[in-house]
Amino acid sequence: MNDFDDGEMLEIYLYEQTTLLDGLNDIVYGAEEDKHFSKEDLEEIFRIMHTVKGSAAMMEFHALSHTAHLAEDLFSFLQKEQPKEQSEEEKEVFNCVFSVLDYFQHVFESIQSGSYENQPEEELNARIQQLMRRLDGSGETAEPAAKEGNFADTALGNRVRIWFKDCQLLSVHALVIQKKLLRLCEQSTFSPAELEETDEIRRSLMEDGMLWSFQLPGKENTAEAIEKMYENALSMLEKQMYVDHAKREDHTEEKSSGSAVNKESKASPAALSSDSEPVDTKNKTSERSHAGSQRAMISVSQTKVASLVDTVGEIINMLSSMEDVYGKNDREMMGRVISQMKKKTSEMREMTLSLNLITVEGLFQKVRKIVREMCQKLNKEVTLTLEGKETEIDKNTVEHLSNPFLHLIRNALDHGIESTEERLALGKNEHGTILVQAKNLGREVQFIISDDGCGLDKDKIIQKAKEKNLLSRSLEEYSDKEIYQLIMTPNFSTKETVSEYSGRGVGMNVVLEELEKINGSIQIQSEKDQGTTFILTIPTSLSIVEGMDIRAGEFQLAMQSSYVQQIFAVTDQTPVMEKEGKLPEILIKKRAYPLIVLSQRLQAKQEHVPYEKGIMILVESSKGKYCIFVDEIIKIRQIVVKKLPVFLENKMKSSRLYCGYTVLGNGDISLILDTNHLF
Amino acid sequence: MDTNTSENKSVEILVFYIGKTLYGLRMERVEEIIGIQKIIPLPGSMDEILGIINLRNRIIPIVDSNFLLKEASASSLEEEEKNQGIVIVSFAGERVGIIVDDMCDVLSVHSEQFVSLSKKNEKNRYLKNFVRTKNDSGEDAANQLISMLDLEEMLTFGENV
Amino acid sequence: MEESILLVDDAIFARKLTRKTLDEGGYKNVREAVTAKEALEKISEERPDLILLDITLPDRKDLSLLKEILENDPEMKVIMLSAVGQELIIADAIEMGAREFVSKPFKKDEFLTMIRNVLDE
Repeated sequence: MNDFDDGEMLEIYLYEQTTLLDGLNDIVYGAEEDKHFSKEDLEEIFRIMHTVKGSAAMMEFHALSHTAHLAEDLFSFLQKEQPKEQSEEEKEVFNCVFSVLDYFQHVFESIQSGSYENQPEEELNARIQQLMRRLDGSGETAEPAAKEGNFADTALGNRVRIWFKDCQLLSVHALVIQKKLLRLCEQSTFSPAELEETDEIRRSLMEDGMLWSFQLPGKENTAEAIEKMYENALSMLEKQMYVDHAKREDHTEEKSSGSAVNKESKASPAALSSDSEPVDTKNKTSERSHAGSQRAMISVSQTKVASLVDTVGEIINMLSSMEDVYGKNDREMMGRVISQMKKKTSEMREMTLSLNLITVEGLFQKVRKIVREMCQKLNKEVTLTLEGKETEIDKNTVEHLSNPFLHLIRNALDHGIESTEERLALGKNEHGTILVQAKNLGREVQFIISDDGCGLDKDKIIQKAKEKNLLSRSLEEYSDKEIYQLIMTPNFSTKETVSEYSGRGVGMNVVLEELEKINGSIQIQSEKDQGTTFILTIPTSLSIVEGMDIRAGEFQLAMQSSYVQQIFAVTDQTPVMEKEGKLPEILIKKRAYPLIVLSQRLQAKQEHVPYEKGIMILVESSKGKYCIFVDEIIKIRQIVVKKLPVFLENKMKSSRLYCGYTVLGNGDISLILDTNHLF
Repeated sequence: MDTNTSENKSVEILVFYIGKTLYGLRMERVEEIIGIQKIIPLPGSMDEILGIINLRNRIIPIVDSNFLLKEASASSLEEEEKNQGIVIVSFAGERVGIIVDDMCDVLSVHSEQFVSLSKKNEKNRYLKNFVRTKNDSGEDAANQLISMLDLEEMLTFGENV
Repeated sequence: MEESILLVDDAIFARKLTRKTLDEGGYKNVREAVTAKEALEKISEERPDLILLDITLPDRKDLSLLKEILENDPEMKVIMLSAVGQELIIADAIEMGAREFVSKPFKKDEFLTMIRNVLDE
């Protein structure tokens, strides 16, 4: 039918749709800030829903198309009859729309990872329809459908509430229990239903436990059978290591429609909260993404492309003048053209790298979303200020930055900002403030996440550090900064309950680890009762350099190309002269350069190959030019430079030999030679 | 887990052999235990560093505990006896691996079982204290003494302290 | 305890420790497999009552082995053995049908209790 294959079609579809979704997010968040949908907003949203519906149908994603269709209908209606500003109805519209956005996000991610199933999102669809009926004035809010598997717990009268022991991976243990109960009784529902490994879910499980409700199918629905089910379940639960206790909560009274609505809106945020953690699910899917397509498309500014085209043009010109000069045998001129070309190609490299840069706006959007949701759930009022949304950062980097970043935001809301009462008692503004700032510092981007909450409890941290023997020096030698830094050591708070540790929640060491993967670093400032500030510094783009894999003796290392002047083989034009008590020297064009035989410097056991069989590499260093003799150049390629752990840097015998490491294609680690300090 | 020994609580320790001696480490410092894998030599590093390994695309330095503790290295034992492993610990915010020659167990010990060092000398400079194990019917006829490693001492060797 | 257990883990060390714990727990019918291929072979040779499955194996990344095992035999009891930092995969494994999980290094008593519970299910 057309030139695209399925894979490409899917990529283009996903790219288009997610761009649409971004636009949709912008409009809706903008409307939320204004606390009202404008006429233009409604029109635009209607158009987008219409497009999503159509495209989804074309790609045969019918469940998605159906929900988009309902949303389209909703907005078509709203255009004719808009609810009053700030009314209950309008609030419900907002809530509904956010749920739809979450759903779309979720669907696109699952399509991308290859795990999408055309399952209609019954609850969401019902909600949209119900909202429309309500707006239409066609009757009271309907009872939540007492469908099998519905979350409304009024439908299923048999209930057990399960309480857990505090443990690591609480949500997963709760999930295990859910599965066990499902095996006992197919018609089971749970609240919370979706269990993500987040602080909120964890707190909800610890405070309210997990509610299990079940129903026996038609014929089996006898009092006897129900009792037996209770018995089996409770005895099974008793044996479970991570279950603290379980209690029956038989519920026989009928709920009135009013409170039924409340129940539903209370239950559904929990159910939908998992969908509204796009970060977690996103990384989840990208981790298990093996079957699905890897999204490989980005938006590129036309200005950048234009500059690039210009630069390439200039290089082509230089090439032709090179040919001229070469013909005239003017070496000096050639030298000049070559150095001009080097400069231009390096500029071009910078430009192409910058094509891969995107703004942090996407990240900021996620921040807005999380703040909004958590404020609702935690009943806190927070003013969020976002600065620097146009700051650019490498696409790969920002994908890895998301998780730790949002973790810190969640922490600020959960553990940092106090409740309204506490704040008023302390004489603070009842609105907490969170400031998120992004700033470009040249090669690096700096992020600041600052809150005016309760700050870190220094004394508690010190106490904990003492218990865990984490203080390698005397306490006085530690600066405040270093003390706060301790909360990021692994196992620092993994075994503590949330209540025991006043300060940040669990998982700070994971934040540090994630940041280190992108060569980032983090600093913590805090003042008790005043607030906490996190300063993240991330290199703008992953450190990728031109380099080569080399062999010296039995060792294989990597080397950067940027300092390499010349690579050649030894001939009688370039004799090597051994010197007594000094480094040997090699003569290149009548100039003598010190020669370092790499395998000898590394004290390899294997003897190096004779000079004629190996390779000479002339490098430039701060102390002057010198030559490195290697046995072989295995490959010339791009190297992703990763930092060496500080521990190793302290364990080197003599001067710096390495300036980092890289992971080879086959998974081996290769150290990168520091040619600046070798000589 | 509360590790304040003056409060009569119990502590979990990981017990293993280095050479023919039983050593131990508090579980809270232990991040992971993995089987021995290809150790890439690090030329130019101090003798106590065996090399590095690649664990899930991150570099982990491996410390030659046999060398540090002056125990007979496993390579001098027969091939079949080679049940070496690597215990990955947390140290100053980074992960470091320690070679162990054989794994034993994770024990729950009581504060009363800790025995302090009489005095620090060359031989025990890398130890914190000892743990006396209870009589295990079947395994050890007599009480065993487990030498508890002091990671801070052990891993800052060679640096100017 | 006559139940048969299949231990699938490519790390000699970890396997040895687990084996020892099982032995002390009275489980004498324990087989071992080092690769996914070996595991599948041993499963078809004789159906184990329980499989202890390490998350990372040399010839199969991710949970494809778990998936295959459960597709062939949805009632198979599998306990996942995980290392630190593999939370997300564990949740997926449970969703897929693994009964329980245990983080290495594990506590002996808890490990044995869990095995007993799963076998009794």
